[in-house]
Amino acid sequence: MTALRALLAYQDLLRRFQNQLANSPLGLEGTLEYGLEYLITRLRLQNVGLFWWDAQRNCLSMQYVLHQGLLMEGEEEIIVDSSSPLFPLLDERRPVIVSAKKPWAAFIPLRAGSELIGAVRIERATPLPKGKVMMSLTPVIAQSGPPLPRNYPLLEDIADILSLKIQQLTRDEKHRKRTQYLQAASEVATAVFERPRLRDMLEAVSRSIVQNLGFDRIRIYLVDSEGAKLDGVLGLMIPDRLLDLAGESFPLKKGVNSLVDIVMAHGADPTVHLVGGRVVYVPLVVNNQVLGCIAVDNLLSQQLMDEEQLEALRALISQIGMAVLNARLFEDIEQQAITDGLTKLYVHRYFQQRLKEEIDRADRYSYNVSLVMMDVDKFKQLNDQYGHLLGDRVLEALAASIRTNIRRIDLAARYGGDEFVLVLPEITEQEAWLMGERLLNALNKVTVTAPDGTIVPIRVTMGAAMYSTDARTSRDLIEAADKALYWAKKNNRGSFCFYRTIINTAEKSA
Amino acid sequence: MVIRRHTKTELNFWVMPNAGFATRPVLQAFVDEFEAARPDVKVRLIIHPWSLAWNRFMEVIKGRNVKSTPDVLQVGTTWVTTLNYLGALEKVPAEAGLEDANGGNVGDSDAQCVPWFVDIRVLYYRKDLFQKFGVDPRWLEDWKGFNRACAEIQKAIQKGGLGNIIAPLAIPGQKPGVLMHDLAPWVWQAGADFGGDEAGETNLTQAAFQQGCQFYFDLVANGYMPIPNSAVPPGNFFTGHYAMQFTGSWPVDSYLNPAGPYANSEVANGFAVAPLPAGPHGRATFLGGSNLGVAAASHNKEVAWDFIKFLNEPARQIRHARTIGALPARLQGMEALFENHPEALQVFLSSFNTARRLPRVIELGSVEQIIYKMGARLLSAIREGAYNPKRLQQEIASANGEIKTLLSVHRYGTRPAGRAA
Repeated sequence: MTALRALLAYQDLLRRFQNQLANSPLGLEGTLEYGLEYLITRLRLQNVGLFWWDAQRNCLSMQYVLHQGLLMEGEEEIIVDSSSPLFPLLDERRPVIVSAKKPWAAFIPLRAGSELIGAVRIERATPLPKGKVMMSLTPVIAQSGPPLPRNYPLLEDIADILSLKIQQLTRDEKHRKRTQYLQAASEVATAVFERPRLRDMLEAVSRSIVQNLGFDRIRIYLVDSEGAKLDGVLGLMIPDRLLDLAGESFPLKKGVNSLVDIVMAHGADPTVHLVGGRVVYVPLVVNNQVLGCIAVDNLLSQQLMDEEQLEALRALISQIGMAVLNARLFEDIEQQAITDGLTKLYVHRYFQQRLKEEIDRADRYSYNVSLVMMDVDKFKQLNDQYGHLLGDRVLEALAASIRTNIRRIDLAARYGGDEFVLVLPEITEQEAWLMGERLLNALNKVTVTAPDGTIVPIRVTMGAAMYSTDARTSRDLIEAADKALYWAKKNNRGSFCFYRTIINTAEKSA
Repeated sequence: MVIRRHTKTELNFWVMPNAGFATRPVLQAFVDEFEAARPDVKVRLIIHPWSLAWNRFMEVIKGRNVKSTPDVLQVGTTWVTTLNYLGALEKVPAEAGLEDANGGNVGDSDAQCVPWFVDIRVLYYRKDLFQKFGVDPRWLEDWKGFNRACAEIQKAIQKGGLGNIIAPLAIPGQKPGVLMHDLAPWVWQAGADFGGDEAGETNLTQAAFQQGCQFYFDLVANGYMPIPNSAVPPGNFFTGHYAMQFTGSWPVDSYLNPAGPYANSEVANGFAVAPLPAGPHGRATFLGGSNLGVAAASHNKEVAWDFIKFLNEPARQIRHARTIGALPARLQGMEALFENHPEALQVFLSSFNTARRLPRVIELGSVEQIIYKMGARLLSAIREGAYNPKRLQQEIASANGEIKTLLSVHRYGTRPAGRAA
């Protein structure tokens, strides 16, 4: 009966130990913490030390010590060579009793497959009882490799249970990572197909890489169309914050910074460059053409990147490179479709679409939009006198001047013939007035030279209206601006007139 | 029959083992007191080792650990800037009644955290040994005198017959590296600093930086402060193995309590405290410590702030500081910790006036890594007999290059227009 009770108690200990390991959270350290805490109580241990094996230095390096229910960093290193009493731990992967007397201490190997990854040192005031049952019990846990002499069955069983658990955790972690990497691959592929525009596609790709591959931040830089600069496009960081890299632009000259050096030095080499274990640069290369560079880092979390993460990133790079090429092509074609060939300003159709969008946005965020219409004074006479080619040059010169005199958020379009139109969002009437006056002055300074050498001055007249004070729809806004232009042409050619002025004048006359 | 289920609000309280193995008893006592006062709340005390705590919280921020997330957490002062940047901490609400804890303290008063305890570096020394070796404590006033004191003690140790004493000065920590905050006071005292502020500039190659580092590493090279290895028995000033130590501890109830089980009676009865010796640019010392914060992802923020308020009541702060061997973040009631050592209180208080924190940069963790590696390389050089001013200069230049790259190419957060991210 005593032997049976002891056997049952032994099996109960191992089963509960396994359960404790099974119910633990937080990865390998958390699992060992939970499991070893149980052993401390059940086996009345004083201390448990957790060591990782450093194969390069042939030493066991203590990571944590578990004592009185508390896991703390440990600071101990033990060199294990062939003369060390711990050598069987390394050589045969079996437990070693290092102190048979009081206090009693033993090392239990931690194995991942046949590889030693560390050891657990257990310490006890008195030796662990080595009863007959324990000695005679056959192994209850499957063990890989040839059977070893079981001098200390309990320790060997604990070693086996821990090894199995480590294997399972390693497998689970690999599976989890693989699933996330596949998820990243799938999301990147989806983004490539479903998001034809560059920024849109890169945003989705960045989000997927940060979330699934577990990096702190990603930044994407692309070589500009002239091949002279490396421009920041966008970035994304944890938890899910988009970063605007529009202000970052580096000349492609050696020594400017690491990103530029990588892009310049690795034209045909899509190598992952790992810096300090926490920063990675990957050149975006397609068909030997360097498109830019992706920089990924873990500088906030300080977590070291592992080879699997880098491999997963590497696997996505060519896909991203191709996607960048496609997106650029798409945007070029789209740009051509919405751009007037002569003036390079937007076409009438695109202007109409954007005006509606700006009006919607103005309603949402409660701001004004100003619409400015202009045309060239006596344009027909210019054409008749100097020919249509000169007329074209007049329009080109005016368009170039308009582009340089408006804000980044403004939109300039060719409305038709010699008429241009400007959409100025987020602007007050006074600001629109100042801007219009400045633009008019600039445009009235534009000249072209006729084939006979004559300097031909150009004059334009402008009319403007405000949304929402002068009109409630895009159509009404165009009409109001057009009326202002017409009024100015009729009453004061070469000037800038606001729709509000006509109304006020009309009211006064009435 | 209606079954009424009274569910309690559960708070996860993440801390680090500040008091070693005494952490759980003292904090569990606070938890029990809070639960008694608030029967509607259940607090789960979770103690993570420092290195794991950071990683585990990062996993929470990255959304990779949703099983076990903190509500209230201990935030080291060097963590605050990065966690704020990540939006991982809740702002201290005005209505939580914590304004006083924020304003009337000497610790970190960032709006996202409430200071809990502080760690300020001073010099502990053995009065009995000084007297025995003819070392005048006034020598500890400046670097030159400090080196003289070390040399005298070393001479006496070499003569033998000093029992446990291994060396004049204990190196902080047991790992073969030098932490940034170990080096910082000497760099500051030499008139340099680590830079890396919002402008993203750093210049470790300045002469003053090298001078500060040289003072520190020369202490090791001269054998005044031995590098831990298997040949050096474990121990520190409080265990009676060294004549001096730079530390922020004030373990008045453990190592310095002559009646306590951990005390070395010679140390407990014969120690004194002095400010760090002054360098060419005067005095400076390191101010560290920990805060309490509420995770932005917590679903029980109101109760979490109530708990922090409870922990930060002055009497409880003093109790906690006494146990962990630190100083409370509030000055209020601090005299209680020094009732038998009023002269030490004056040293700590005067050190607050010269105390500085590490630069508040989002990338501080990465800068610390670079400095740590530089320190490890220099300690190796000392071990191999290859340490000299030129080698020091080379290692500093190498670290400087790494930090420059980090801050110029990989800068997080706001930066002047046109600079790299």
